[in-house]
Amino acid sequence: MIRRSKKIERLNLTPILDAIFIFIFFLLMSAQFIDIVQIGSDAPAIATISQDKKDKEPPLNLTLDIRKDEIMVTTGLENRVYKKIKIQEQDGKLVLGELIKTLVQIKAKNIDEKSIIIKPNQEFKYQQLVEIMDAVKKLEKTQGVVKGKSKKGNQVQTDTLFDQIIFETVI
Amino acid sequence: MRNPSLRQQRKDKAMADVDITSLLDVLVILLVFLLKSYNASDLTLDLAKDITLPNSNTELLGNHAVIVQVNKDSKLFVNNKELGAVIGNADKIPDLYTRLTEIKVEDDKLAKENNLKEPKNINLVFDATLPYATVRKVMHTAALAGYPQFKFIVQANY
Repeated sequence: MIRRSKKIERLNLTPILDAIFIFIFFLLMSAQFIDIVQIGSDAPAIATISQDKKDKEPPLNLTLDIRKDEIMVTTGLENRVYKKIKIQEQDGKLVLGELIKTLVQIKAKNIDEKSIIIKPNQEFKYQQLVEIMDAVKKLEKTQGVVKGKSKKGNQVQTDTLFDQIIFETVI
Repeated sequence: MRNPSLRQQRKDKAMADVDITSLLDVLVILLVFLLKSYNASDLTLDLAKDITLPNSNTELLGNHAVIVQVNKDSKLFVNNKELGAVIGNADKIPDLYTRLTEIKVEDDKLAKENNLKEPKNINLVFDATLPYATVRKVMHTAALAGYPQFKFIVQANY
């Protein structure tokens, strides 16, 4: 019996290997192994408002006055105290549940408002400041959404709280 | 009868054929890992010595701009060059102001030549343990030098 030699067809992988090598080299060169992100904040701008353009409603002027032991949430031009929240830490992190709850209440009544003024005390740690900035900008997925009525009368639903952060004492 | 020299030739040819399938497997895994960790941001940051970035939940990627870094000993770095320290009670840091003003003039000139918007962003990198007083001085100086849009560079939690 004659046994025929079976020729195995093999795929030529060399070109694909070349392409993958180039791709890997490019990705390795541009790789950043720390995930770096940014939090935006603008310096307060001074503008002259003419009498004709004045809003019918007074501005919310929501301010977080961060003191040594407490955060004072104030609103309005005369900085009326809305709530005082005691600063508490747990496992080296700030406990911000009460602050978020307060901000959700304010946001629900002023759904179009986006700005918040932060006024930290001089000794306040930068890590804690970042935690507060995170909390005031956006609700986490587990924290649900805020519902409210816009100035135009539409029902609005959002997970963004106050994403325009202004530091009061910068200039 | 078979030709022995031809058989020998075939044998040699078969030995030269290296199986690269396993190598290809490893490379594909490496490629997937690198693609997963790929960051589309145009910001390249070389962290200065003794800086621990604070953690944040934000997902916004950084952009290219002037980078000011302050380490835990309050040493200042502008675009990775050391520039003294944040000391004293004055709000304005003179050395930082001078350097940022120089950079601003160059940036404005470049932007004008390329019909781009006047650059106003500044990337601020602070050590997590620094007090707000230091952060405020740097922000104040940057705003005076023409960079009022602060971008705090932090490390993502995810």
